Amino acid sequence: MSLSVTTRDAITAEVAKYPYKKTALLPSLKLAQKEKGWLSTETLAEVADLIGLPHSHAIELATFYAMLFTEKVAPVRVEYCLQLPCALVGAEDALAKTAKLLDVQLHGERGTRHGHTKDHLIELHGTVECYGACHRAPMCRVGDDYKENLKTDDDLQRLVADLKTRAAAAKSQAH
Amino acid sequence: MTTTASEKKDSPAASSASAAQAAPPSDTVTLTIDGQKVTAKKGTLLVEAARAVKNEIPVFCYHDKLKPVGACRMCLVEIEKMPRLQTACTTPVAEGMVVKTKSDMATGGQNATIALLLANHPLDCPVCDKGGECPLQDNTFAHGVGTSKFEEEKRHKDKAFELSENIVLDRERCILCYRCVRFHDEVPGDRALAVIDRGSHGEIGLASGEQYTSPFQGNVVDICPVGALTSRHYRFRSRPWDLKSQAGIAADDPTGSNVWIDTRDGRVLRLRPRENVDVNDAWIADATRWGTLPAERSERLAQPLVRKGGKLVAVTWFEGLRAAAALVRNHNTGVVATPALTNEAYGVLAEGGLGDAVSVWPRIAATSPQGTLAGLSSSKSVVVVGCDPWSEIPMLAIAVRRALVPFTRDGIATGGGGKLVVIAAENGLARDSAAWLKASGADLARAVADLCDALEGKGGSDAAKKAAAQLTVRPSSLVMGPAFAHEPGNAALVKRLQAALGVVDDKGACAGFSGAVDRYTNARGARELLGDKAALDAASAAGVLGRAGAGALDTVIVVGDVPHCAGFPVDGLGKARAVWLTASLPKDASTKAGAVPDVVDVVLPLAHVYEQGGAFTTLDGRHQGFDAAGIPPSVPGAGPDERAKADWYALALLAAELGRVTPHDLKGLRAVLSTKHAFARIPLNRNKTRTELTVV
Repeated sequence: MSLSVTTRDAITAEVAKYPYKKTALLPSLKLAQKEKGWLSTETLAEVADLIGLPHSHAIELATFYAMLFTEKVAPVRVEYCLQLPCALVGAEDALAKTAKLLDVQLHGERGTRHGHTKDHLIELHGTVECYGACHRAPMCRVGDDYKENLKTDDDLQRLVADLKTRAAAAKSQAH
Repeated sequence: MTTTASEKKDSPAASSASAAQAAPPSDTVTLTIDGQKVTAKKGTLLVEAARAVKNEIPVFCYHDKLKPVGACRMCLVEIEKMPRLQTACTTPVAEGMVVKTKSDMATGGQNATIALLLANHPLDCPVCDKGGECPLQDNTFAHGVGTSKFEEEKRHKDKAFELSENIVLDRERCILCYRCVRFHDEVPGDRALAVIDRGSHGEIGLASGEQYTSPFQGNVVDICPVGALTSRHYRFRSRPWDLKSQAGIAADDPTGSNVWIDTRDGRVLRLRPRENVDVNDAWIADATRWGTLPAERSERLAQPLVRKGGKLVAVTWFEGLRAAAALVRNHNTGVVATPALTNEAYGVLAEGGLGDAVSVWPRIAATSPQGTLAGLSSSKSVVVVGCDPWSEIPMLAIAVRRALVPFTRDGIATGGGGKLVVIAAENGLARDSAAWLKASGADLARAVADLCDALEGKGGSDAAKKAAAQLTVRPSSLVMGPAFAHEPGNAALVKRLQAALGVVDDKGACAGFSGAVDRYTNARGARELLGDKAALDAASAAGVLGRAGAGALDTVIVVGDVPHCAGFPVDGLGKARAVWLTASLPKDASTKAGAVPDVVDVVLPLAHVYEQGGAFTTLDGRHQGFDAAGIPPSVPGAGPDERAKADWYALALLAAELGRVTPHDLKGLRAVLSTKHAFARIPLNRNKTRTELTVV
């Protein structure tokens, strides 16, 4: 499935911004990921072809940056920050409680903790580095949105309700 | 940060300090390396300046034919007035610079680099193909501390990962010097390999979903400084210290790639590029590297075959030659020579009077190209018509690409800046072409005429005008496929295009390159040595096959095999009987159905090119001699006289059998031929021993 006309136009607009085509690759891949959720081999090739770069440049860049996904991810990806400021105010607990509320089995140790719902619509991650929202810790990132001050059970209930809404929306979009 | 020398442009002659000493004073700087005064051309990299005074700074990622990147940190040196250790491979020389490569600080840096590289290296040297010729082993021995503080579990990655049917990658051994990735980026420009992931997860791979199909894969095995990239064709076959390396010339390449022929007990086990900056630089094509390796000696035909009572019977050379001579003597005889024989063989055919006529088959161009491949590589406008060098003569594609994209010599970027216009169905250099006018068959002539119109300012299509606008700078070059150039109706068109491009100046000199490129190894040698007496097209009415087909010949001697082409002109022989001199038959050829055509009465087995001495002429007229490296096939227990023989030697023996005396040794033959032919005055390459090899 190729990219939408809107994304293709946006990529063409990116290319026009820079003196070297290669510079446009990173913003273009972000645009492609925004539409697709992740960057498949076909998507990488399509973006490279659109800009006029060899495919190897796209795969090199996409695998270099951790936040460009070259493997399929769930439509709702929740990334809990477990770095020091967040950890001090109970981020580990918040992650565990969120997992329990979503009926998610978490795997891995500190630093690699992750899990997903049985329908694969929501992923939980405790693997990310600081997102720079320490003043409203604990926090997690859902898509492009920050969910902050996740201190009480009510906060978490609201978060989980929002996640379920997003998952349902993603499911209906897929159908 | 230091500036890289690749940003500075210099002439190709600017090779490091020794050559630079002759340059005008303003172009040079003087510096001190380990107390030694060194004068080097501006822009020279420290590592090259040191190399010129025999001070070898250890490197992994640096390669003198690739852009420097400073990835491996092996070449750390101390430079006075600079706060930290610097990488010698990215630091250009500067006036008054004082460099210490062996101070405590520099040695400490080099030791630490080795320790870090070895931390995750599996150290499986005993089962590694590179063992014995491995820069990592050598540098560890020379610059390592000998022990490791690393006690943790080593990183585990793919072992024996098959990148292609030719190349195996061991990701644990890889030290991420990026030489292989840079080779594909810079030399052929096909960007076949990529660095995937980052940091300690980093690994070499393909852009996923793609195949590794480059025709230059083998070169990454040569330049890999560890045992990460190995050749599937040579894997586990020999240790380097058991190999004897001899200088040779590629058996299938009309551009005359120089190779090392590595043999063990007379068996040719592998080919490697031999550095020659005027011909193949340090690269060869995969077709040469793996496609021209001889079959096992024991699997090939070693004895002459003579047809007795309808059946082929193995005989001695004495009997075989006698039977062949009987077919030739008192019969109308023609000789068909393939364009892949040695010049010496053509010399015997030209002098020896083996037959009434000699023809070349398959057909080759009637005239040789003008100019040189070096001229092609320095052209600013290049037109390719009716051929795809990338797939047909890969090393020619490299020569063309050098005109377009800067390449690196001694660490300094040079050349490039030319424009390429291709008129052909296929174009392997599409990504580097300024324009590609797709055409094939009869459309070629139309497309060329269109481009001529545009070049002459007499109209032409929009595409042709766009292409012509790229071709304004001189010198210019024209590379034509033989099929297009052969077409008699195209002669005037070719002249017109040459004039429009200005490939030949008023005095008839060609600064670039112009002509049809035959795909066969020694087409030019055949043309130059047989051209005046032989029809260059055997199938024409005057050619040997034409006359045999018309019944005018009783016997045809077919000499050689044709790379890139099915073996034997069986259809063209008519009623004539044939003598076949060939290196391509298996040992059971006498009984195997279809191996030897019915028209053949005598088979004389030839040695493989790498098992015989001789000389080839490249398509741009360079004569290159070589000595025998491997031992030709023979019957077990038989003496050297019963071995398969060099093409010129078999022909000379046959001439002698017919009473026409020809010298029986290469030296004597060359002495006779040298009175008339330039190639025979050029000495054969001296065999070099391993100690003289430079390991790249």
